[in-house]
Amino acid sequence: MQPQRDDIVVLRRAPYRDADWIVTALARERGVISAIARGARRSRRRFQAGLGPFFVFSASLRRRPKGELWDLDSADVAQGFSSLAADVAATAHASYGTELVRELLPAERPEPEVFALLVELYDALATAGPSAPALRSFELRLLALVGLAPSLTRCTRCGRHLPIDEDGEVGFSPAQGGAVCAACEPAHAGMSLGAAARSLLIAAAELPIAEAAASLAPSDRGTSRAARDAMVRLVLHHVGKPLRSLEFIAKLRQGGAGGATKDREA
Amino acid sequence: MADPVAHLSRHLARLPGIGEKTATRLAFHLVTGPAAHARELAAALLEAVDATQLCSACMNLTDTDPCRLCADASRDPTTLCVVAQPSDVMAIDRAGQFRGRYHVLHGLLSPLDGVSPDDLRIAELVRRLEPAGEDGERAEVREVILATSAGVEGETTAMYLARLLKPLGVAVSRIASGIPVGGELEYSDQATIARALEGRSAL
Ligand SMILES: [Zn+2]
Ligand SMILES: [Zn+2]
Repeated sequence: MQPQRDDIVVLRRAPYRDADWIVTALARERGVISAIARGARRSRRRFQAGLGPFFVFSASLRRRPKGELWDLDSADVAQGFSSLAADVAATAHASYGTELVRELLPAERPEPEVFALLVELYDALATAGPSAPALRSFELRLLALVGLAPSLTRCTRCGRHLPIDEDGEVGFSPAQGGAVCAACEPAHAGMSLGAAARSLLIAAAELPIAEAAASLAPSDRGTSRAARDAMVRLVLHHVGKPLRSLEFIAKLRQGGAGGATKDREA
Repeated sequence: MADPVAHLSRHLARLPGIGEKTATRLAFHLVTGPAAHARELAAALLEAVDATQLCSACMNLTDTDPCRLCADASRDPTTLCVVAQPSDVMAIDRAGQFRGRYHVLHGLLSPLDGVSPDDLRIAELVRRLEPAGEDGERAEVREVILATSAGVEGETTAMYLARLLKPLGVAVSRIASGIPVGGELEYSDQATIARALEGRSAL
């Protein structure tokens, strides 16, 4: 098999045999692939930066004759976001984005826009530090790219337009995929979403991640939390299982050390 | 268990670096070889597991508590070298440059893998740096050298620890980047490790 070149971001890395990694990666042109990197835990020449997360690697790949796996022959750093590591909360936020991509994308479906979005997230977090609005922008744009965008301005059941100023709260149902009007769901059986949190999400869905981080820093903590809770519940509904990075962020918030200040929350 | 050989090979396959095929080969090798060899292996395995514990001071694997490195009075108690794994202690000590004490974290922070601060031996490290006992006397440690690898997890862990430990009034330093980026310490040669310790910088 002829080697092929593609840019990859590592989504998961597990040790295999003595010196290999088994890698799940998002390749720009090929989507999510699984590959064996032989000798990668020893060779710094063929595999730069330890084949770690939060790098764009220029990779040489070969499809193995049988099965789903690729051979990853080499990986050179094309773009790095090393300043993420300076802040454990920024690393945690970048990990959340990485884990979401890993869980939401099927294998080997080309998703160049998701690739670009993930790199955009790393770049924004490396530049501006951990940021809740950055995560909201990322979540909403990722869900839109994979066809799971929540409805925020119309009732998901009857399609009625839900203006922002109308009596403050609307219902929000992860299972039904977004906002629901009072007529369709009088008791707000899922959860409710206030006007400020809903406008934050509507704005975040349209903005580049860096701009969301800079301009949507919430004036009050309640709004930030409400927006987060709605999105996290929606995301967990789609993923269908707990996310390790979210549990990490929750523990960091409880533990306090090095973490618990404003905006370090997800 | 219907098939004891299959049962054995399933257990072997859980070992790092052992695939299903190798596990099956090893299982057949063990059951078709001399029974005495298998019994000796089983006894050695149990003995090693029963005799090995974590040193109550440095958290390294040991058969005595405190471990030999912590009990060695000729080693400098004012300098602590923090590493991810017991194998890193061996690698650094072999290089011969470092004559202080160690602390083993048993892993690195990794939000992607769900490894958070309370999964590591960080509380035990902090305890070693806090004033000793009720008389309020300070612990003897003056410098902590963070010798985690240069990959994302190693860097994140080092930066997290620096932020946590500096308020405790100890000097915190990081080994020079001579340790390969993301490379594992155990694969580094002795000269590289010695140079990385020599060239450490304050955080
Ligand atoms: Zn409705
Ligand atoms: Zn010890």
